[in-house]
Amino acid sequence: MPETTLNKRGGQRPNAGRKKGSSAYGESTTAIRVPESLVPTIKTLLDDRKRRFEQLANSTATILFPSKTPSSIALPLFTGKVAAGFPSPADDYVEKTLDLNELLVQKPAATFFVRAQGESMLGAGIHPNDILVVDRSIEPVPGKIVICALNGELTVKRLERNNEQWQLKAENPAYPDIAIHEELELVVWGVVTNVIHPV
Amino acid sequence: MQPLLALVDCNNFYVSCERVFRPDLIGKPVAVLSNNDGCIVARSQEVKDLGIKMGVPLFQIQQLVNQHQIKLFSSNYTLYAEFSTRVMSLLEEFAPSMEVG
Repeated sequence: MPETTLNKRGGQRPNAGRKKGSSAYGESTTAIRVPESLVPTIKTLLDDRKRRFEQLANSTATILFPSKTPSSIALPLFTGKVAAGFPSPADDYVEKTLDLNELLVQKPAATFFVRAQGESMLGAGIHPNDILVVDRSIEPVPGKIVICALNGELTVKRLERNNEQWQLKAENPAYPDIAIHEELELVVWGVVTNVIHPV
Repeated sequence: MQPLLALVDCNNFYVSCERVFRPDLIGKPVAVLSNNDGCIVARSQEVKDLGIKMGVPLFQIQQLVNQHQIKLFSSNYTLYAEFSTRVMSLLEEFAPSMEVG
């Protein structure tokens, strides 16, 4: 019989169990104790999330095109800053309008939408399945968050330069930074300008 | 002032479109096939260098495809139309009038 355990006295078997990040939510899960009265509320919330993730998973394309005939919806823009607390009644008037296409897409001919995968850029506010707005016409300078093809695989990282050394920095301590050297096959594909994140 | 004319042509356009989303294929032999995957309709420079001509039926060059690991794509006209529109909209920024030939 083949050896399946490293530790013969029981314990974790290698490769046993569900793969990391393969839950119905597309990220790792954890067990918690909750008050019984809250169970239905939490279940509804989780089901909603599950459904949203399924919808995302079903749309397989990771790179999307903006609509060719963008509609324009100018909605009222409230100029007061929104504090997540008590709203100030004085802020309650509209000053101008905002169109999301105008805000997010500066160069339609060079803009693509890319769905983010993985948790390596959490620190930059990029969560799994967020939509990234990518402009390929912007010059990738140090400090920009870029989509790049690293040995043929698309990944999102922050481009940085220390002295003469360029590197791709993850915004999550759990992920290593990647120093750019000559043997690395690297194409910077585009610069991320915005993140669209559902809350 | 003399009017300036520019003649713009995109190199192996269908292949270039496919490579946009597959940067790993830059520098590798890539070809795009006609409807029903019958004939070669676009060839990357690497494929041209192998002596494969425009429009040849796939079965005649199957051996070269295997030998040189040529990456083949079925044609995706929606994609090519999208990029064509984008190229045209970029060119419009530079020229007061355009003719498509």
